[in-house]
Amino acid sequence: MLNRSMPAWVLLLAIASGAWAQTPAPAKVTAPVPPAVPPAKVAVPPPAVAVPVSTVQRQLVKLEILPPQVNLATRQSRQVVSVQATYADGITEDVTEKSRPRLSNAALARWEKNTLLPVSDGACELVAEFGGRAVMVPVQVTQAAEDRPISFRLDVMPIFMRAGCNQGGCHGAARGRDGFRLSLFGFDAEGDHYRLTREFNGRRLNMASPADSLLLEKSAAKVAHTGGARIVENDLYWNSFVRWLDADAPNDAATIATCVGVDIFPKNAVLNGKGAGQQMVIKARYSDGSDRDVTHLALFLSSNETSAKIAPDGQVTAGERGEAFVMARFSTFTVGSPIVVLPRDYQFVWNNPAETNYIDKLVDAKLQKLRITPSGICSDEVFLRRAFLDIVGTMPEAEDYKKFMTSVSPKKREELVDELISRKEFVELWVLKWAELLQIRSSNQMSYKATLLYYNWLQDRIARNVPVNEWVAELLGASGGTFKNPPTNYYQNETDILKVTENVAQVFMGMRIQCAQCHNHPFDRWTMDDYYSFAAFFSQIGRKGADDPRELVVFNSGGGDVRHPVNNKVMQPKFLGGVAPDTAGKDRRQMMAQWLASPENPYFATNMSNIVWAHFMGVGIIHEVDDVRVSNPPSNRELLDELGKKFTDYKYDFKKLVRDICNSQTYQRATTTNASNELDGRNFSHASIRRIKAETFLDCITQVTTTRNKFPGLPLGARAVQIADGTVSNYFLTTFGRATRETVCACEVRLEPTLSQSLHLLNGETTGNRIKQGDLVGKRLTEKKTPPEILEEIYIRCLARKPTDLERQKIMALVDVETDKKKALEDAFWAVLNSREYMFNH
Amino acid sequence: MNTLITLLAMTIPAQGEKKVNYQDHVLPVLQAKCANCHSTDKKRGGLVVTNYTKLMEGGSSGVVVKPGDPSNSSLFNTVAHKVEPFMPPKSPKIADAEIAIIEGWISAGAPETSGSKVMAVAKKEIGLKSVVRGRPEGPPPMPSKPLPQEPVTKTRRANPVTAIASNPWSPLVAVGGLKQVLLYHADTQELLGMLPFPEGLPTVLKFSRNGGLLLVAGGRGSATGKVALFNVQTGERITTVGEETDTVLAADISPDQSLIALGGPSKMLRVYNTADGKLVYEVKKHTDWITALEFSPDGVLLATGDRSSGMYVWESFNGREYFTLRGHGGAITELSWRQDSNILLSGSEDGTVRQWEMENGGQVRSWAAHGGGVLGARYGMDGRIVSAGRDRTVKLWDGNGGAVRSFEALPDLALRATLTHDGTRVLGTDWTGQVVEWTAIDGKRLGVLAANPGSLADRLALAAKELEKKQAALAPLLVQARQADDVMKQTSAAINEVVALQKTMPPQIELLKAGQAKAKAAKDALQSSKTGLEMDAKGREVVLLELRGMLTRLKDLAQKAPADKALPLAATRAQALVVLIEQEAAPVATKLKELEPSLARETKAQTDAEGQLAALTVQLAALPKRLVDMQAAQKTATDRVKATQVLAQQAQVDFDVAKAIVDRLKARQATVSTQPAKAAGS
Repeated sequence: MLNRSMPAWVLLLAIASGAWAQTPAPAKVTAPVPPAVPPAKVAVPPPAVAVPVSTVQRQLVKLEILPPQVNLATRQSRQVVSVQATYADGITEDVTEKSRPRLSNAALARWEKNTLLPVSDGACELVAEFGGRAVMVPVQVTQAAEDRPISFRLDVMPIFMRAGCNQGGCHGAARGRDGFRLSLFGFDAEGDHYRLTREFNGRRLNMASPADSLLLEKSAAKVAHTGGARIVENDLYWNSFVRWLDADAPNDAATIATCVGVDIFPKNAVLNGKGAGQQMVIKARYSDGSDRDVTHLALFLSSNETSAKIAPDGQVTAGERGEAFVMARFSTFTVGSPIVVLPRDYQFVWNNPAETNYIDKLVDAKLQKLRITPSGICSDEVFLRRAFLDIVGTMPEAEDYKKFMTSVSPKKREELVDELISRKEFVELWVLKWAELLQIRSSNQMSYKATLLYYNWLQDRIARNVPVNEWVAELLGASGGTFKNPPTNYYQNETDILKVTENVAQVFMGMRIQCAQCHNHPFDRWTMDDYYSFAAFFSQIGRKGADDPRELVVFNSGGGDVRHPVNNKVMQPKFLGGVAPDTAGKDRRQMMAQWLASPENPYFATNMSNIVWAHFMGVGIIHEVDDVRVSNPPSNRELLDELGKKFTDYKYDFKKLVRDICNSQTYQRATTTNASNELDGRNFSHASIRRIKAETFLDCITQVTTTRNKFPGLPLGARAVQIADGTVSNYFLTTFGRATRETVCACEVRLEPTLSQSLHLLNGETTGNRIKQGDLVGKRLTEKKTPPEILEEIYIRCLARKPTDLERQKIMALVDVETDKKKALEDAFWAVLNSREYMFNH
Repeated sequence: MNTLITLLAMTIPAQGEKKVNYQDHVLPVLQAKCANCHSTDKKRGGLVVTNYTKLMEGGSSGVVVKPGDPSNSSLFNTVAHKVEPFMPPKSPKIADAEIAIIEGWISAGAPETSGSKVMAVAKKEIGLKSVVRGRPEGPPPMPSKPLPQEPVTKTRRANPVTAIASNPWSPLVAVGGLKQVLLYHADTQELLGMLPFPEGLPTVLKFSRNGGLLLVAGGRGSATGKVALFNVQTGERITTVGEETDTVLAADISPDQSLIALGGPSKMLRVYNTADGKLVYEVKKHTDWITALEFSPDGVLLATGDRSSGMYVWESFNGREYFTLRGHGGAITELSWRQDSNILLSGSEDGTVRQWEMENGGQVRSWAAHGGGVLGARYGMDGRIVSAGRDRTVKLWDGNGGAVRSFEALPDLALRATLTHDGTRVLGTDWTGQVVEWTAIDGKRLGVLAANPGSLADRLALAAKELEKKQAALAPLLVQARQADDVMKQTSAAINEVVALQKTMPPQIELLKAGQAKAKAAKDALQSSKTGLEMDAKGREVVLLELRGMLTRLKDLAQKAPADKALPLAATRAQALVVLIEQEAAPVATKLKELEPSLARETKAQTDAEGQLAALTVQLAALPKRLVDMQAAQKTATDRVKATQVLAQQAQVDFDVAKAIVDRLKARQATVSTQPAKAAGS
């Protein structure tokens, strides 16, 4: 810090509060300087559609009874009924009470609050009337007087999840709690039955007097229970326990129906103001074709309690404005519905922004639903810098700036995108991205030569724009020597069957299925069966040495199985979320590779699109990109699906996808926010401010200071993005979060700003020394450029804009008083490099 | 507010007719609601509420009870949800009545007992002075006074029976039922009566070493745990010890009857003095629930085992560690000492039964007893071992672990097993609540002891029905026996006949033979005279023929030679001779004729005799075989008689037993009805 003259700090402040800093700044800026650039270029168009939202004017467009059909079979059945009204402006309302739903034959069932209970057999209609509309759904009552035989799996096990007994912090812990263990989220019903009935005989169940069972007394906190009261005496759960005990605590026959799917109603809701409610209805479908209302057995969760709180009975209550995903977990399924909460009778004017392509249409549709006005379009200067950084990972050169700014073509942004996509730096940037995900790094197992060959193979595929599905299939199905056929290195890098399985799922499908190794995934649909069936594809990888001791030959051994750890059964290969193919006599990996990178795999195209999207928008539609799960829904499902569809239609040519994204208005929005979108971080209503990735940042500093880098194994002047080996790094790259490629996690690339990063830029070798080494200022002075000209070049090189008048005036005032112009200008250069505007992509 | 408190303070004691106090009113509330965290085991926040002194000391955040000032007592404030943290956590507020008790108690100055001073614990006479080790003097310890006959609880089915004990000196078997202990007679499987255990489910039953006392341990899960002692002869409860906040899982009484040891989910081994119920020592060493413990028969050592395979041996009187026994790989389910106190037997969920010596604490022997886990393993008085396990069987072993017998598999997990005092019978219990009794010698099933018996009236009705059944079974058997007897008698008579024949026939034959000989002689004589006569006649005829021929020739000659005078003479003489001879022949022919009938008679007589003789001989020859056959028939008949008699006798015995049971039950009913019903839960 001391090698800088005092004015340099003042300079830094001047720049820090410059044009860009009008967005919420990471730290308080002391000198308030008025914005040099107009806040937004957008002239808000006159309101085209003024949405009337006052209660009186709202127009009913749809009335719906949920669920769409009521089946009551046996005395134990029940059905929660909810009536949802949808208005023209998208607002929904739970009108269950107002619509007074009733049966056309009242003798068939009776009401208990909003729940229908069977009385006698027959069929009739359930009718609801509201706002001048009537709607009806069929009701079928069968075996109303008969008891359904109690089942441990269907009736008792769900209670443990609903009441929270088998969660990880309680009895679901690996060693149980207070001496009693249940399987985590009920993945092992057989074991749970054993532990309840026969592990500790005479304690947990009182077969003589069921209601005195410790199971019940503890659950209802009639005796001391660390977990407190989870059920209430004589409630539904209590009675199910008693019924099971009265039947002598039977286990189920092997033929017992299993839950094959769960439906949640309504599919979405837009709630009007704090306090508005919505009853959720959950139905489970079973393998025997029956269905049941399990609203009382499902476990409800909300992704955003502040906006939409959900009670244990499935009643959603709106809170603050926002979006929430309310979920219900039952059996091994998690289902959810998006809930939007708006301020009551919110007055909103949609400004009808321009739309370039399908992306804008879908993003705007969502924004409109959320009543968010998007930010305007960014300036050409901002776009230029953003496009360069995102597409090719460099700063625009002065010539690029000039060319673009002087262009009069109405399609100049589109042209720029096309030009950048065809540059070789574009390829390098994506090779880097993939090298991170494929963990290309030398290690004790993997020689440097293999690493290099692997990297070159990847680079070749991307440079030739080989469709993603083709090279992914080639990679995962690869056999042969790691030198002769480099993609086989994928299987040298990681030799553990389960790790390979998890990596493939995480990288190519965006799914973290690790949980399912030991228990059913608590927040997703994956069961242990799914996990081990998928792992079975990787159970027949043969590996043997080659002539060169550094080389390994990967081949299909044709033998080997994966066993389920609970029941020790051999698992047949089954695609994750797909079918079980006949793999007899075939290379399992090749089958898997073909399926994985094909439209049959519902996750591949969307996941790839999401990765690309996240690169350009700073945040994925699903965030994190490798955390796809039911309980982490996409912020805009329609958009994600459309991107996936387009990607498939484009034959997996991702350059086309990049073009679509970069040409969209969504991508080109300003970072400046307005009152309605300042809190939005997931719906792309404004551009996000992003730290630049370590490699790109180093390249940019190198570029603007006209210096050169030397990395091991690469020629002098090579760029950091070209480093093939993940183990190669330097202090700068490590500080700025270069991925070590030790895992496939998207979190390997660290983008959080840290103190050591700031200090390194302020005091470290990278800025000061490079300014001296590159001697840009010196050269320009020799070229007899005036200080204001030099300052302008520095600004253009670093920030892709000219200094504002105020900046120019302030800086020149400091430069003018300095006799050593070179030193003064270099100080200004240093200050620019340390400005947040430079450090961030915005 | 003050009036309210006064009001409460006045109303509450009225219920118990005692001044509201810690011991009688507050402790039950705290025990039920707070003891899970604030007991001597956990001391959450440094606070113990189950002990008056400790409660008054307060917790780590200071005093919680300020006598006379509930609003400044955090005990009251937290349970009344007036001050955070609300207690008990994560549960609804406790009942207002209970809060009122606490409030009233604090207002009243927080007295410990109704007398506001330490209650003197009455010393219990449990026969410490007269304890006899080994076989007790006098008759075998059996209930001598009428025991309660009505079950404390009658439930839909029995619980898995985890508690069973057989008296070491008498055929008395105790079986744990819900809130009661059932006493059975091992020889008759007869229910002698019940001992009420209102504390909950008995988890442990142990007879004292001299058989005079019965220890009953158990309680209510996560609420209370107690150990009670009963006098076997009178059925009276002598004392109750323990202040566990969860059910007791293991307990025993020392052979000198001075100590009671107990353990359970608190993981603490606690040893109480039987005389005054005071804690003698406690040991915090087990890392999991204590599931088994037993004093050595000499009283010197105490063995304990826990749920995660931990096993220790302590010095009984001070709780000093004596041995750590390592080896088992699963929960210890039962511990049992050999009578000489030298060998400890342990059963474990790891499937093995092991023996340990007490010189160095080493493992002597280990054998795989039950696949899936051993749930019970006990020594009998004779040094043999019985075990029960998850393979649903009860097994009998010799003292060295040699398999003697595996009894018929039970319907579900076999939980416990025990040998009776004399080692002749084995009892096993299972998960469905069955208690089955077998003979040790051949594994014959003797009967089932109900762990969930009906009321006396029900039992009597059942017994009467049984008696009827027995009678119905007996009647035809008696008829059968009588019929069989008749058959046998008939057979015997027939045999006697034959034997007589055998005796009478030979003289008959002799007689016949003589007759025949006589007839033969007569016949022969007749024959010979006949032959003589015939020969005489024949000779005459020959002579006559000669003479006639001669005569003819003479006549011829005379004709031819009339001259010859001699010739006619000769012819005349010859003629005369012929006449003479012919004259002589006539009587002979007559004689012959006369002879014929007698000859025929004698011949017939002889033939007849011969025929008779032959028939008799055949008959006589056949007699032995006939005799053998008849003897076989007689044996069959005898056997049948015996068999039917045995059956009938058995049925008779059954009938008598059933009748005796009915009689006894009737007698009991009579006693009960004449005696004022004793409070079952006293």
